[in-house]
Amino acid sequence: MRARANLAVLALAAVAAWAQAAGVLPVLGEPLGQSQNSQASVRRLSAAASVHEYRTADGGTLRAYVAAGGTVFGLAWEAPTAPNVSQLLGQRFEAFQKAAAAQSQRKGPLYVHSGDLVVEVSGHMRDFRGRAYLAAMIPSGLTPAVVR
Amino acid sequence: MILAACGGGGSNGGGGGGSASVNNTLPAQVNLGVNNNYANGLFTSVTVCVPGTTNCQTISNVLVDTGSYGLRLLASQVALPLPPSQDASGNPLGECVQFASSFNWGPVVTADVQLAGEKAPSVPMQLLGQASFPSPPNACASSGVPENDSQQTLDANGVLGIGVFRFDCGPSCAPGSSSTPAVYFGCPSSGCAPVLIAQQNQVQNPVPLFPQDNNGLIVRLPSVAAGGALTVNGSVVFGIGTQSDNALSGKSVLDADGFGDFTTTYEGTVYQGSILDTGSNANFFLDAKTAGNGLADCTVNTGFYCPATTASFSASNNSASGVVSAPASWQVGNADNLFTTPNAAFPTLGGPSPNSFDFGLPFFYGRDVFIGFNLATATSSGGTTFAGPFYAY
Repeated sequence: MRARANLAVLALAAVAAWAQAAGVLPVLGEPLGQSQNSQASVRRLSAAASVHEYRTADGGTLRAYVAAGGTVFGLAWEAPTAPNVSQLLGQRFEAFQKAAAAQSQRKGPLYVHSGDLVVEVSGHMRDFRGRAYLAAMIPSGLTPAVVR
Repeated sequence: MILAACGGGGSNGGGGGGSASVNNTLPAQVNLGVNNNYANGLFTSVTVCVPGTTNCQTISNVLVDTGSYGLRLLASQVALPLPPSQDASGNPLGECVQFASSFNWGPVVTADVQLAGEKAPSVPMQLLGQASFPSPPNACASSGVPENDSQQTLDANGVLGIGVFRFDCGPSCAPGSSSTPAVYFGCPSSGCAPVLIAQQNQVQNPVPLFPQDNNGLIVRLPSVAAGGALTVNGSVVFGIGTQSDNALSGKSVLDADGFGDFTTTYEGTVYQGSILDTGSNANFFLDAKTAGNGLADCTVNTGFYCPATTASFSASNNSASGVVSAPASWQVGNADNLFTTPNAAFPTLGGPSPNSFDFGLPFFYGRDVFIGFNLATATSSGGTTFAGPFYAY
């Protein structure tokens, strides 16, 4: 029988298992940490934004869309297992939860547009796809379509 | 473990041999469901038995879902002592399974599953919302979507996942995986923690375990008038090219990729991740801002489209290999108006899903849609053998 402390460590490791092999997940609306920068391949989108791409531990892909000032304004993912949305959305998670509960007639992909927060999840078992962005944080000259 | 069966077996297409064919036709119906509120839900009855016994129970109002893999039934509806599964350490096995807009949690158990005359022995399946099982771990709730483990929230008594793959998680959750996803959990008395579980022990689509008629299936629904219908009677037919009622002939066969998806070309743009999904209750595609779509979002029934007048669309669905294309056309009506009727079936229900095409139950009306399973083959009437995963219509 495992000790409680060991189980907590195991659970944390599993929760972080969706992240890239070492390091933590980028968080929507937060600055991209220095350690996260070193994990990714980086591509310029424009003078105002760049895309940092990570491989997740389950072999999937996570992209963070970062404004010139360093804030993550969008995220997009495709992976064989579901992402840890509470980590990805940070402070926006509660608003997301409320909005996700509201659409009961619709049975299909998730489509949450709640004020500034947009979360869209399509895909299915073994192929989870999604994106999230904060509309007001999208740098001028870019549209939400860049988050994909 | 193979059950004795009459006639030809095997997973390949070919003439049905033997004296008596197994009844491979499972009736299914589109209706408003257990809570009288479901639009475009295709429901059927599933019989489960304690393995190797005649201690069986038939559960009605189970959603037919070609977009998922595995049988999940509300624990509150199942009165049988189905044997619980264990992880490699001998602890009770639970599963946190994510759908796009909800999650399910509960123990993995084993049952013989009977659909029409077909019987799958000792199938790992899931009981949802079992009160005596530990509550969902934090990793489940961290998905942010609601838990649909009651009749009130699921709007059904269960889900029959009969899509292209057999195992609901696959290699990602099996020994050898480089990480342990928060999907399967071993639950000793000290608490649940993620574990890896061999694929054959994962919750899985029961159809590949039938002794025959196990290489795929057909969803067969009649046409429905644009204004909708109160109910629609159809069927799920097991096997492709194995009996006289499941011949593959005159259809375009779209091979799918390793995710079980094909692609869709709409107005010159190619979209990835397309599926044919009876578990989605509308054709979900693009969004109001996409050029050429221009459909207004509903203000009452949010999540659906509400154009002023019914709009027509067409696209080309392409196999993953790019070799085969098949046209698709559909209409989108005003959901707020449609939902003022007492109908359950709505061929013109549509809704937004940016960057992808999820062809839901409306696509299936008036068609035979073939689902060819991964790791199986099916032979057409013309003698061509196709390898799954594929969709054909």
